[in-house]
Amino acid sequence: MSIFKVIRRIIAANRLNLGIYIAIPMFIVLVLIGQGDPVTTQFESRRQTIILFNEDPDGGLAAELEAWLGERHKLLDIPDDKNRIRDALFYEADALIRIPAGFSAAREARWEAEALGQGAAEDSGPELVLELGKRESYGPERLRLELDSWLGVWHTSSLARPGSSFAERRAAVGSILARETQVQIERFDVEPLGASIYLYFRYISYGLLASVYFMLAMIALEFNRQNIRLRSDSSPVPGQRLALRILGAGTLSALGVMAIYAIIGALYYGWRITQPQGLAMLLNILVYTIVCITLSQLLTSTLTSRQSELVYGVGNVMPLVFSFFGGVFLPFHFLSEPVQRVATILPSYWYVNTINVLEEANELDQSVWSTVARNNGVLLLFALVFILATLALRRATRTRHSVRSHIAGDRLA
Amino acid sequence: MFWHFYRYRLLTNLKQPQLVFWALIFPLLLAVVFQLTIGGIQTDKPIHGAFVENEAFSESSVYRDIITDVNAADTPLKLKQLSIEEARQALFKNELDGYFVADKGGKLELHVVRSGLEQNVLRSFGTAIEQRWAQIEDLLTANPGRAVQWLTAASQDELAANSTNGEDSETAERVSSNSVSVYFFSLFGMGALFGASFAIHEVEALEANKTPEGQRIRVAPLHHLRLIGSSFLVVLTLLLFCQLVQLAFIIWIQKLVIPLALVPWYLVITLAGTFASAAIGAVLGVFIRKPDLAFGINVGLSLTMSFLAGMMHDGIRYIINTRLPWLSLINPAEQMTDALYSLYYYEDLGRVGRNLLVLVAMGLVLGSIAVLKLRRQRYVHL
Repeated sequence: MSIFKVIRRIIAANRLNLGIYIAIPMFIVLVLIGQGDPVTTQFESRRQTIILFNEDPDGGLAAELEAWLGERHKLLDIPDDKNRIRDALFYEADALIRIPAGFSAAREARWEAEALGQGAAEDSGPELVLELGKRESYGPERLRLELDSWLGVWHTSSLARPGSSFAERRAAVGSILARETQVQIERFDVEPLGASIYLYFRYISYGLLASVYFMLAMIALEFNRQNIRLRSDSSPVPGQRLALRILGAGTLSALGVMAIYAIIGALYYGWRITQPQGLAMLLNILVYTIVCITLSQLLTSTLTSRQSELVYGVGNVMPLVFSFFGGVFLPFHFLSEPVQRVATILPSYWYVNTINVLEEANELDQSVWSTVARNNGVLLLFALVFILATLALRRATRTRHSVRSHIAGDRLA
Repeated sequence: MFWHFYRYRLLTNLKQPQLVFWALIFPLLLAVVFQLTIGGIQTDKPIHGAFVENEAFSESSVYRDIITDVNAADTPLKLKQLSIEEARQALFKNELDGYFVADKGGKLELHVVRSGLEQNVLRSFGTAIEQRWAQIEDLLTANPGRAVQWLTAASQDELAANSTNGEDSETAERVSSNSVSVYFFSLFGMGALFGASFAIHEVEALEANKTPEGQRIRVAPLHHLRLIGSSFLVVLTLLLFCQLVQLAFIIWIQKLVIPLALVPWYLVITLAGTFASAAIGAVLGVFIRKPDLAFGINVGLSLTMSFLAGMMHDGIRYIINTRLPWLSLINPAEQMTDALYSLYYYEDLGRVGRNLLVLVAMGLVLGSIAVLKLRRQRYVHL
């Protein structure tokens, strides 16, 4: 038990440093999952984000367009300011629609002339301005499609009823626009959990690796200090037993970090975590934690107390590299082919792959579970390789240390 | 003596591998990682849809024509015709985002497994087809004479002439072709903040109660303010060098095309960011007694501020800007990112000017605090 006390003291002494590396990833995780989708069991019409400026407030057509867009999409209320519009189009909005003054009158006059067979005037008046956003290509594409269809419906309704009142045309348009494709969600036998829980499990791999590494590195730095080593060497407790105790206590502390993440996930997601996919992800994170522990043991096994700067470097670079290449921060298919191939040598790839398989599965059949088992098996293999490498490294270091002691002893003699 | 001190402090800092790593190597490493991962990002994954070959489908050539036209057009939508079993199987395997089943009344039913943006695009597409049928029916009923005339011109898009990609064409091209550069700009901001470690190290060296080096420096025959000035100049030199290397690297790795007339602006942004970061480092060094803790806090702060500036998720930057603008204002990484974003994408010098003003003000305020705390220190016992 004394070793736990020591480790608790080490953790307490480094609480600020460790806190930063647990709190920052946790903060990032919580902010990012805030962007996730809720659970949906029926089709939900997604609202695109639109900046709408209606400069033709008295126009009937303009008012209809504004009402129709407001009903179907999210209208972003921002001032007509160049900077705000640019930022919104870059980061949030799918499109900007500007209805110029005089648009309704000009359009209606043009369609009326066409309906009466007088042909369109050369100057057809002010036109709608559509500026597409940069966020996703689908959103602007969908808006263009819908807007085009809406204008087409009004156009043909005017052609069909020359000389009719606006209210008559509006009624006809209403009945056509009411025709919408019905959507049927096919249910295979999987309970949908929503995208956010998968995001959560993906992102915590970043925080977990960083936290576990820092925790074990702090412990290693303390136990590898010269005076502590001398004391350990002169202790009646066999060195191997002491090493095993330190390893066990460090492992339990690291598992404690994982438990913190798992408990937060369970509290946040409630029943979803008890579904088969949720339980599979819990198992996955447990196996990944073992990999993190063994990898951290390997990287910290030869640390000396003068290498604390190295700890910060490795602890920041490694989780970021693992996360970017493993597909944690962005979908794996976005990465280029060579990067995807290289990524398979990282444990994070196999961890994220399990989550992707569970998220995309429409049926939890044999193939899904065998993929989950294979990925966890690969992760355990990684852990085994790291353990063997650590043992080999320790043996080599011990031999060097022993040779040096002999040489020193000879010289003294 | 001033330059003598400057020279030796410069050499001392250059021989600190951990400082050089954080200020220079780490951002460059991340830039390489970014380039390998998001550098060639292509979000235009096609949306896969299908029409089921049933009786309604076979009776009308319209759906086949739609498939041919849509596949030939430059849109993300890709369509095919499949039997119901094949469509269901493809949907199950996630090879399809959805499939349409047509009925004889011209109605379509979309079958999907989830409710995402791809499925919404397919639904809008199906709705547009249904509404087109309804338009034809309406026109044929109410005014058959105009129906023929309209049908011949119906392929013309109502919006074709009016949609733009925002701004002038050159800027629009720059935005759409390279919108991930903003990630690299936030990385540049992060590099500047990491560089504050130089300032922490310098403050450590200036304080006699922290290091033997500090004791020696404090007995040197040089006015204390000149010592501080020389140290500050060392930090600025090193940071500026690191920042210029990073900027050049980002421009090269991202293949950014920068008009020659704007190059001085990039240098001014670098200088202002360097100044603010040096001041932040000095304040951390002055107020946090343990240098290791100050380094740790600086690393943590830098990562947090870079995250808020959009380094890991560019949308965060916008959320913070719109919901917590004061947080953006006091975040130097965000000010640098915003200056580069405004300059590169929009060549908006007014906004860059505001960012520069904030950075310089930040540097002046924090720098003054650090100098006030550092000057006239007396040690009772060393």
